[in-house]
Amino acid sequence: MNVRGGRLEADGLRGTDLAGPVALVTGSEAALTSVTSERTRGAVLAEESSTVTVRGLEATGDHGAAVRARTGATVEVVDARVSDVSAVALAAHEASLSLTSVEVSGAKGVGVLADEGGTVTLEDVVIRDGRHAGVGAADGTSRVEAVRCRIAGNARAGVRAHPHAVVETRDVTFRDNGGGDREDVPGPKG
Amino acid sequence: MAVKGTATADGLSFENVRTTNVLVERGHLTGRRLRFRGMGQSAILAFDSRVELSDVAFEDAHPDSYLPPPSPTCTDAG
Repeated sequence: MNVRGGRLEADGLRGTDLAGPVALVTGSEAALTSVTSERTRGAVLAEESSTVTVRGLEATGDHGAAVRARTGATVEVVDARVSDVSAVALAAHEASLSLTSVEVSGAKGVGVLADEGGTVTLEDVVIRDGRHAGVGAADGTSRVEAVRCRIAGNARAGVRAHPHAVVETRDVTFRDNGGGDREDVPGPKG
Repeated sequence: MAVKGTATADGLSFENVRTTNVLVERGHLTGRRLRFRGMGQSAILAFDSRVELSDVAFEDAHPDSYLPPPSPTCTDAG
């Protein structure tokens, strides 16, 4: 589904075995409830200053980020479970992504990534058992704020961040992450 | 199906449609209980419209049905 301009309201979207995202939202407002994505290129791709809220998301085995915000988009996700994504699980590129009550597990790429000046806010989020870092801040202009989170069992590191990126954590538990709680990324992209 | 005004679609199934299944241009679409299967392009393509959906499923799209936008330089795998 491809929405350009205007407004999308949806309750009960299901995508299975798709080459693209369930919802591609460009320059639009969207309020999505009860979204299911299985083996798609992601549940939501928001770009070009879109404003999107997602309440209730189940994503499994996607081959692109379950939620990706780009180019000035603002995306809020509340109450989500994202598992076994074969890429970055959730990402903000030059955009803002807010996650509340979210569990991410088994991602092949970074669990939650801020990139290209992106801002990610996590509250009551679990990121576990990924094959890369739990959280990434890929360049010096990216920002991550995590409150009451658990980041555990990720193969690469708990947080992998550019030395100039802002990463603030409060009441965050790190456990059993390969490479330690925090690994610095020497280059702009890591 | 093309919508330029206001339309309600309830209980429709679209199968193996190789072009855009539902096109909405500066209109208002209300869709309930819709099924899209085997899409060749976007199941729903809306421009400057209001789209309200409930209970909508997209399944088994054709592998070439989506051309991704240019990817950021940071790879998906992080």
